[in-house]
Amino acid sequence: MDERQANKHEVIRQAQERANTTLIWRTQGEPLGSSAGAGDRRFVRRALLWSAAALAALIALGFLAYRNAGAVREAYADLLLSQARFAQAERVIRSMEDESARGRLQQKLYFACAEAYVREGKAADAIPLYRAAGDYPGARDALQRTGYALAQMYEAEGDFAEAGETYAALGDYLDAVEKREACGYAYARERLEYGYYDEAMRLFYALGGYEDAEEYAKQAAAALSESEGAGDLVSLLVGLSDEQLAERARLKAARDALPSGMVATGYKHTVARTEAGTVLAAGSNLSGQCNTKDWTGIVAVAAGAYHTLGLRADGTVAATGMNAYGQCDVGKWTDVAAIYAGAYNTVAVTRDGRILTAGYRSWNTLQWREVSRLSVGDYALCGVMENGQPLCTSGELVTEDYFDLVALDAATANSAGLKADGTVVSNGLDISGLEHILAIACTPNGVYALDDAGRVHARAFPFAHLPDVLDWRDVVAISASATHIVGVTAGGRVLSRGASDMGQCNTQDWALFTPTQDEAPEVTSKP
Amino acid sequence: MRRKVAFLVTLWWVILCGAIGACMLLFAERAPVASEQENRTLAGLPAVTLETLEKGGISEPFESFLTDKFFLRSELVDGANALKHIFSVLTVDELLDVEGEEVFVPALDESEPEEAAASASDEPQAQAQEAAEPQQPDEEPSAALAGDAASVWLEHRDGTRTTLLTCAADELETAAGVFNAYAALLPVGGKAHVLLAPRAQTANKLALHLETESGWSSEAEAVLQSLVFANVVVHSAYDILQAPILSGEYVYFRTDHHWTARGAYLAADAMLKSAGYKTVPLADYAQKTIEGYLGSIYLRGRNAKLKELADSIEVFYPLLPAKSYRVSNAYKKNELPVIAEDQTNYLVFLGGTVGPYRVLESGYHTGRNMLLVCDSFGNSIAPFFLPYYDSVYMVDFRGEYYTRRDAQGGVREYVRRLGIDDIYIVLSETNGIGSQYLNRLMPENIG
Repeated sequence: MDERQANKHEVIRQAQERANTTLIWRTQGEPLGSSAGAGDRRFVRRALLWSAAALAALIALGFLAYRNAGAVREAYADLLLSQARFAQAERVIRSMEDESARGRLQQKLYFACAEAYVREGKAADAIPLYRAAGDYPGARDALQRTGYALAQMYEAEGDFAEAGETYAALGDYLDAVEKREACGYAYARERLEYGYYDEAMRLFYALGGYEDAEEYAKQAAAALSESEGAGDLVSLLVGLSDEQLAERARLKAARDALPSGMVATGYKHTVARTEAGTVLAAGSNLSGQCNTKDWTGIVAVAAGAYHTLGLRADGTVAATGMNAYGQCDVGKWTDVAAIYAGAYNTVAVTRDGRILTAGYRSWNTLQWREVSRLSVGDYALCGVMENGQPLCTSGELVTEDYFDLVALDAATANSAGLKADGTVVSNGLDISGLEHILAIACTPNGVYALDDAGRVHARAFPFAHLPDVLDWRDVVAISASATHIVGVTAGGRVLSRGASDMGQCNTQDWALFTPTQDEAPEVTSKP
Repeated sequence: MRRKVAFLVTLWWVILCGAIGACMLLFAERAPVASEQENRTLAGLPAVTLETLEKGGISEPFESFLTDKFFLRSELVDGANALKHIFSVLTVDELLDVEGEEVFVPALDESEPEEAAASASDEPQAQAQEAAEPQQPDEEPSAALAGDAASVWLEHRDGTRTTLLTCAADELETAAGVFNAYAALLPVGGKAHVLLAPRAQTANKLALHLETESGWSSEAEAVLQSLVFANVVVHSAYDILQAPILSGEYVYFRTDHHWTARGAYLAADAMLKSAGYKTVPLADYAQKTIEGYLGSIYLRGRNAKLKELADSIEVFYPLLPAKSYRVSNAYKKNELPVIAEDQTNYLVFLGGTVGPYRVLESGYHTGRNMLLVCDSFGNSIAPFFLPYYDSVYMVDFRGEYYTRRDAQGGVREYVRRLGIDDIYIVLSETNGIGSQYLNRLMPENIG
């Protein structure tokens, strides 16, 4: 009974649904399709046609946008930058795939941001951004201009230390060099006035011959020696005894008598110049660093990790070996007085005192003056001024003990300095007991020092081992890598010791100049 | 009129769906890609072959491809997460204390051709090393311990302290045994340095509450030092990092469980200085900063509250031209990045972990090589060892990165063939004392 009732209800429901559908058809017309009228068919045709056209246009537009997505983003980023919407611009720039366009826009962003800061009077905030803008057109000029203005502002406010540093970062822009010295001088005067004699003395001493800095340095030293006892620098400034002066003169004469640029060591190669101006080489030649047999007229040699340099008598430079970072691109250098090599760098000083660099790194040395000699560390450039003050692109490589220097040699984070009195200073190594030293060679593992008796002393860090070469005699020049050392004897022989896995110690047969006395070749051995 | 509109809507819906589908097939990335946002690999387009069609194995991967690479999917995922956490009741501290997810690194394509065999410079060192005998311990470790032997405490400004973690005596003894086993592999004069670093979840209990916390202390390192050979140096990360943290230095990320590159530098610096090295100051490194980094802790819960604590990543560039290679069977293989410029997360350091071994060729020439046994904390610290070693070899024994089959040799073999002078063991607390990494993975991969 129930089932029949349910069927009856279902039949009624379906009938009502059909009636409703008919009602809808009557009010709205039949559905579009095969049974549609002519007008509807026209509509459908047109709709399909227009839809196809619109789709084709969309696809074309999409394709164009896809092909030019980079350009679209670039234009959008440009627009945002022009409206000073930097945060949004940065997001768009980061999303760009083209690295060169991204880099260029990133530089533009830094530049635009810096300009905005300058307009707001925030010159100090703008400077790092100008620096980050790198070689973006106008960035360098703006950096120098803003830096100079900022330095002037510091100077006007009497903050001479900050002003001096800011001028120092400007290189030789306008009168930045003179201004830096003036600010340094003013700051030193200020320190002296406040009784910071030690600091004032060092600041005045670093200024060398600037105005009456030397006098003030002595004045500060005198005050210091009265109050706190005399240190080395104080003694130097207050006055040396006749004996001390005589000893220094003797050591200077001995140093001047040593041959310079005679031998050099790379990572796994050794080079030496002969009296005749040719260059001998031993060891690894995987990068061509030993291809020196055609060189003539060479007066000094230097060696990087995988490259070799020769200074010709006419002031030009020969180079061979690895040139991955342009360290051998020295063909156009002329009028060169001295050459130095770092692991992947080449540095030269011209006769008029300019510093030339080539290779992996470049350093800001525009403010360096009166440079007497240089040393290229693994990543830092160091030098010694004529007044014995150290120069260094890394603050940690030299300490307060570094003054009155005649040579400075840097390795990685360690360095050693040779003083005019024949003692040695180091920024981390125990170098006690080294006296009457004429030359030093610093390596990442320690220091070698050549004394006035022709003997070579080694001082190693606790983690390292250096070959013991104390048995060598009559040595007049040394050079060392991390794993081997070579020394030239007064007889022109080349001694070597240490790792010789690539033959870098095969120097027994070399004769660099005519022997003054018979000398048996040294037998080399590994440590 | 209404039916015409209905027709047009239907027509354009069909066209839109078709266009999206066609665009996906044409333009969507067909290869599987790593999603930083979801910390997983997004599915690629499956290969359509007769075989897969016959077996019906195409539909599921294809569905995964469609869902993973769907138009605007990233934006939808972000939006959904933001909505989910708008009404979260968890505090920021609770959110920061969750277990972080390791940053996902897609596996390296093994089919890449091998480079030349071992570099020429490795050979002589290996030969020289062969002659060296393993280092014998100078003195025997002290007597056995019992019970809970060492704790790490968080010290409060009110003079009280809370235990952060406790190490059992047997766990310490096991760890010491492992360190001794590694130290015994070294040639004469070689040292093993051990540093077990807290994760950010632990460090930030101090770093983010300097108004109530005064410091932390750990006795685990001292106990360990008493148990190891003379050529093992156990460094306390707690001692090394406490002062910088208290002075507000940015040593740990907030939304990621790793230390920052600055924290890694401090740890490396302390270890190297203890060995007598004169170290390169951080200021001498060229640097860049990546802003808006949301790390592993954020990825775990994706809580909108943590977005406000977004980190910045300081990246310090090597000073000399460094190169990195994958190493297997002690031979160099695929070249890898040292700084992955295309990454904006922790993968910027070395491009993430790659196994079984990896080498960083420093560009320096010191005559020494080292092995760094590490987890992901090693990726940010390794570049700071470069100035002191010719080659920095790295190994991460976690299963995702290391198999004995890939390595084709134990650590003993690698130390001998690669001329390793020193071993540094740098692990996070998760892989430190009592962990499977230290108790099982390290010992079983020695021989």
